[in-house]
Amino acid sequence: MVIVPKHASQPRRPLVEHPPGKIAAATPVAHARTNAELEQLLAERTIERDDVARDEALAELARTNAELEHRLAERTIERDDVARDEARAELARTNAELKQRLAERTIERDDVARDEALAELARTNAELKQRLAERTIERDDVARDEALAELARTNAELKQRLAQRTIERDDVARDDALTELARTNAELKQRLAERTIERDDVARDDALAELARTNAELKQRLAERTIERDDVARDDALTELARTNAELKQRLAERTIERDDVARDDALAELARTNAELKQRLAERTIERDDAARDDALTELARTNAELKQRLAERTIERDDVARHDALAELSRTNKAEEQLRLHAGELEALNSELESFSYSVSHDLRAPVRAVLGYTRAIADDYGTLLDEEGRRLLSVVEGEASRMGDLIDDLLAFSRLGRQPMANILVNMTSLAREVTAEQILASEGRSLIDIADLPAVRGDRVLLRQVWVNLISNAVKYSSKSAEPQVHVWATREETRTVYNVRDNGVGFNMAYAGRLFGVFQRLHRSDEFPGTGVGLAIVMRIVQRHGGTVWADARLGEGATFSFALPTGGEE
Amino acid sequence: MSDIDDVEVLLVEDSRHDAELMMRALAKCDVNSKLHWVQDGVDALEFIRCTGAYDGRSFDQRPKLVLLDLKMPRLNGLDVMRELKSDERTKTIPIVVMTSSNETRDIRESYQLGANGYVTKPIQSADLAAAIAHIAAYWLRINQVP
Amino acid sequence: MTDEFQNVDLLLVEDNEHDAEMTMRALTKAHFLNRVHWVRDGVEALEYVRCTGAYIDRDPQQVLKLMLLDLKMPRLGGIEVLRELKTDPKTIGIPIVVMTSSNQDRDVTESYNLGVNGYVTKPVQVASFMEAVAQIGMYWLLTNQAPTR
Repeated sequence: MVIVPKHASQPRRPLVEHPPGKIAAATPVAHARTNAELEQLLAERTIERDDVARDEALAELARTNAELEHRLAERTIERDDVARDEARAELARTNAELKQRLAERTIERDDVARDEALAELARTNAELKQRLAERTIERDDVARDEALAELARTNAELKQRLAQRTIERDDVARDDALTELARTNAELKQRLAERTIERDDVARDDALAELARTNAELKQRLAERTIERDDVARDDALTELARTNAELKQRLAERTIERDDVARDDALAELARTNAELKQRLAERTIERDDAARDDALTELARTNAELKQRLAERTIERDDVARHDALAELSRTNKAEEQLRLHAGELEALNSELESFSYSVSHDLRAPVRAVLGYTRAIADDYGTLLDEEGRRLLSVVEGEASRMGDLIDDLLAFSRLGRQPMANILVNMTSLAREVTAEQILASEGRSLIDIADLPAVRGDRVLLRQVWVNLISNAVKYSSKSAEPQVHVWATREETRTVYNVRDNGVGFNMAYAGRLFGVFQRLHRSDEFPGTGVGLAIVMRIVQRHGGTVWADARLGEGATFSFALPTGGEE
Repeated sequence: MSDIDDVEVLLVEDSRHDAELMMRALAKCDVNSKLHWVQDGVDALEFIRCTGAYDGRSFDQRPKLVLLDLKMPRLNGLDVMRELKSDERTKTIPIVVMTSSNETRDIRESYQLGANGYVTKPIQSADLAAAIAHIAAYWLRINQVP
Repeated sequence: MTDEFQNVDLLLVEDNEHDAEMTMRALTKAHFLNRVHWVRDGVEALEYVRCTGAYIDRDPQQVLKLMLLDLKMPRLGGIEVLRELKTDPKTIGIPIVVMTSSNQDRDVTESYNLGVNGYVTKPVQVASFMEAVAQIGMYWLLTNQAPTR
């Protein structure tokens, strides 16, 4: 968001002008000849420049004319009834032949294929009709012959396809085909016996072989189908096995099994059940292709069983004095640690409540008198100011000013002390909108003199309320310390690093001497006098505290008279 | 007792200085509301319930607003609130806590007991004047009471 | 992250589009930079507060400074919303000001009995309406302190 541009755009530089009179002069006669040539060329341009092309164009034109004349003359199109009739007759004959074959069932029974054939036929018909209609066939004897040839070829193709049954795609159709084949076989056999058709032993043997082959293929596919195609299921089984083992081991370790007979029995029962289940699944393994893996699994299973049974039986855990001793020692150690924690927690608790009651006192008891001083001095100024001379009014305003500072200090101290005590939220914070929100308020407060520019900022995990305070302090500082510049500017941007995001606020104000930078973030530490710039010196301490609570760091860089850049880095991770 | 008739604002504040500053600020507002000041919680309850020193008061004359400090001797602000908000006859009187504290705990407890509003007394006199002005403008001019 | 209903200070619960627009304009004119979210009935209002339904992504840590609540609304009215929120210790602290056309004593009494923080009858005149909204904003958004977390 950029506000109040300060400079009008710079006037454009004038274009460089060519110095006049620099073109070399040729002789006037040479000029004239070139021009005439050029003029002539231009004149010729409307005519065909390339005689060859023009001749070609003429020739093309003549040829097209001749062709059209010829066509008109011959009227081979609609006038040639004979050719058209011949074509039609041919077509009809082919139709009849194919129809007959359909009737004779030399085409396969699959309606789809047959429909395809019919469709193909119809399409061919349609196409031919169309071509007839378009007269592209009978116009050109060659084309017509081609068409007839095409027709014949299509017929032949269809015949061939019929013969080879390459149209057969559907299992049902294939089954039909098999059935057909079988039937044909039977028929052929019969014919062989009757010798009405079968002449070719080879053809008959082919048919039988085909049948056998198809059978074998189908058997294999059935056989394969019982094999588990899904590796996932097998992996699931192994995973399940491993998980159950791990679970049982853990339960042993936790001693919930051997202590509790019921649980142990349950565990054994569970184990047995799992074994049975897994055995069954293994047995069902028309799935397990990998004998090695299956054997491994069985072996592992057996081994685990044995181990677990043995451990249960031996109760190696609770009978083991060492282990028990360890357990007791562990227990007492934990107790001690707990005790310490309790003590520490108690101390912390005491400290915290001390701090809380301190803050509470401060907030109630310190603020009230300060409020009174401020209120009453204001009352005096309002109601009796006219009775005072200039010096008197000045003295009064000093009292007011110092009491006001005291009030600010108290409020800031309170805010600072509260920082350590409040729980921190942990949400994804949109830093861009937060910074812009804060900036809008600052602009309102600073009456729009400053140009504050916020770039897009990466989001970060943290406490929005606390981070807001960071922006308020940094941006209001930037505005404050650049307020005396002719053109106050504040820039906010961020840079992403591998494990953190660094947010920066730069101003072009008075800056500070880096030699004193170490004091910047101390409470009540200031590098400027309060009559130069108002402030309590707690703002940056608050910033540092908040950034630290977020696991980050804050630092500053500046030059006297040139401005300052305040940066804070927050760890990344956990954002989208 | 005319000074306790038609009272619109009951100020419950133990510090006379704070009370004076708040009353001055209120007087400067463009609001013509009669204010009565009591210095502790017991007096506040008697005033509202028209008992004790206030038994001549008419119960129907309920204040439009009670400004209630928290830290007071004898009976503190939260106890007063609890008493008033748990009584059917007085629970609908608007009570705005006005205290030095802006501790989260105090704020939360006040609202839990039914406070209508909560204002932290600012230190700066200009801020105090503004706060009183906003309080007066909203609670005495705009807000409706049953 | 949908920003639209996050970090909102004021929830406007109002079924009349015209009134809602006027309210938001009044706030803007009075230089309130607070984020305002507008819902059209009681069901949406409760969903917003409880971070359910369409507002399941809303951060429950976000705290409202004020809910301006109309009474007569479709689906679920203001009285019901008031009852729900003021009887739940988790939401009792949300400052709720009923802002409605009704100045019926019955409505006023019932609202206060349920624990409403304030009650304002919508002025008919535009200027008075804008003025009232500005004063509401001044007190509830600037002066008053709402409970946090």
